[in-house]
Amino acid sequence: MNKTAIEKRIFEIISKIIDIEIDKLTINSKRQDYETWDSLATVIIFMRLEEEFGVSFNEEDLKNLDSIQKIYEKIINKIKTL
Amino acid sequence: MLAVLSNINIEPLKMFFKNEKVYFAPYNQIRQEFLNNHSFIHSNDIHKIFIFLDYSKNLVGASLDGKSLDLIQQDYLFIMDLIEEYAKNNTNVLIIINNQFIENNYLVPYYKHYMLHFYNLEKNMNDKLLKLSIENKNIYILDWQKLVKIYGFEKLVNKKYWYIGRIPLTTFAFEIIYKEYCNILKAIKGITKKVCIVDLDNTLWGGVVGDDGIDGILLSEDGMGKAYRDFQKCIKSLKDLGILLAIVSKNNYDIVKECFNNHPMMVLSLDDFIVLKINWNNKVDNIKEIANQLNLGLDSFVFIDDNPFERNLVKEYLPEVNVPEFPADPYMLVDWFYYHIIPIYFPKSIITDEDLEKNKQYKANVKRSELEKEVKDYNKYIAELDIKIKIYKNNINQISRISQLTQKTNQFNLTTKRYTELDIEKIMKEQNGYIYSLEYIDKFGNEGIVGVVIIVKKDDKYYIDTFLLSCRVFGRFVEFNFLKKICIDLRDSGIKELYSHYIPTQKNIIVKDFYTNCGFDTLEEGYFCGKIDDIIEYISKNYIDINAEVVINE
Repeated sequence: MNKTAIEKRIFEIISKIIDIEIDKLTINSKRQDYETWDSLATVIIFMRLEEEFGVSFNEEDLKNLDSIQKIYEKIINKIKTL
Repeated sequence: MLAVLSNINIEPLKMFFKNEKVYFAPYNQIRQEFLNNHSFIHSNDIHKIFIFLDYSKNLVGASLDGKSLDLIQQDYLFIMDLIEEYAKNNTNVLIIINNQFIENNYLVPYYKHYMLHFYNLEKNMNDKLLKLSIENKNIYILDWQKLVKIYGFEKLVNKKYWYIGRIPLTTFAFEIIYKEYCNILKAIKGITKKVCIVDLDNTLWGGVVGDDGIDGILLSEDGMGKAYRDFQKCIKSLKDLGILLAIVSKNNYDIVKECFNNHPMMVLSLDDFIVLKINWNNKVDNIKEIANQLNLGLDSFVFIDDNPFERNLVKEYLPEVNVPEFPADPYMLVDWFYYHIIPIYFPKSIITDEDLEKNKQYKANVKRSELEKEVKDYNKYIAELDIKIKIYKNNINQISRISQLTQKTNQFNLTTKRYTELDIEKIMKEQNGYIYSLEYIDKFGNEGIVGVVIIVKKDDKYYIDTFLLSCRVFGRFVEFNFLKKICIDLRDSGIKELYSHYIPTQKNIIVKDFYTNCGFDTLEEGYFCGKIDDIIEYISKNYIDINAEVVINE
């Protein structure tokens, strides 16, 4: 999976979970921008990302990765080190 | 409105209920919801409750004497009692509960009595639930054990997010729980597909019968041939659910027919299918034709074909038709059938007598009448039925059938005279009359003996004492051709005139004009007479000629 494909998948996953159209999300979208991106959505997003990319996040990641940009970079890094 | 209750954090299910209002009870509030009369589930808005119970968290550190497992069981049985009471008081609320899959957290893995504690725990819980669901019409089971078996524990269970967010299941697990829940609702509401269309080559058997020959296809009692044979058993069993079967296959009909008739390992027969589209036309047109013939919407159809090209074509041009993916590995056909075809397309919670009869009903009459709808020109329809009749005269082997027909035929029966077997035998033996019986065959099959005419001689005059036809076959010009052939036979015996009589009953009004429609003259009301030659001419002129064979065995 190349970088654009990964980015696209992340957008799809987040869009579906927080129920926001994919076009309305940007790489700079942040958790606090969306009411539906609550703590439950956050947990589900990370569960889904783990299942999708075979990577693992810790509890710190769940707190700190609060934008699509950060999530994307973390995943790219984790995949590199796999 | 649906209420969801659980002893885990079940809220990830929310994302699947976007079009439905769902109340998620707070985490682990099952007892409170049932015990508090003012709780949400006691409001009138609630029509469905889904309860998901997971005890994996309680299994950690189970004591050797099994006492901690007993506590789990007590908790479970207590909740079941609450549910039962609620179910009895709220019979209009549908309750769906998962069954239990108990993880084997064995401290002493090879200690038999310890294993027994775990085994008993799971068994007692599931026995209780099953009993509850059998005794209460509004309680249904979501078979979580089955889902764990199909998809595997590791794909469904996620311990990490149990610790992080009290969510012990994967998002995939929530997805399949949701799908299973929908299938159960479909089954309860009786929303099921009606027709299963199958391809033949590499679907019902391995290989291509047109190329590999009947001996060359894979269909046997071992190896992959066995997988196809078992799959045929699965398809055949759909008939027991009242599902209609059809074939759409690009093939040579004669070869396929020979294959079905002569392959020793064939489970299905062509008779199992109510429509056959074995030709070289494109499958989209064939499926459309079947829909018209059966007068069913395209969304009633499931199309099973191994060929992705055909599947995509159907998906693209007939998007309402259900087109499941076909397993890449034919060894998986049976599992695929039970796990991915039955629950999704043919879910049922009960089998009715109507289901059991459906195939039989369609088998003979609907098949013919649906063809009738398709072929607007009735004469063309009759011609396409390819009807053949065989007429027997004084056939002693048919005495009991002939008597039976006189006893039970009410509609197409001109005089409704009932005869015993002895009566029939007497007429045949005493030679003071003739008994003609009619066998009916068309492209859909042989209906057997369905018509009787009894001619009696009285004072040198010949009377039609009885004229009857089973309602399965009349209206297809059979009645006229039957009479014509009898007249020809009588003429050959030197008979010139024929008398007849109509005795009205409550049920035989449809035949009141039968004799005038055959060229008889009315003598007085209900009494008719016709010259044999006139009758033959009248019938030949007015009605289609049907292929008839006369078998005389006096």
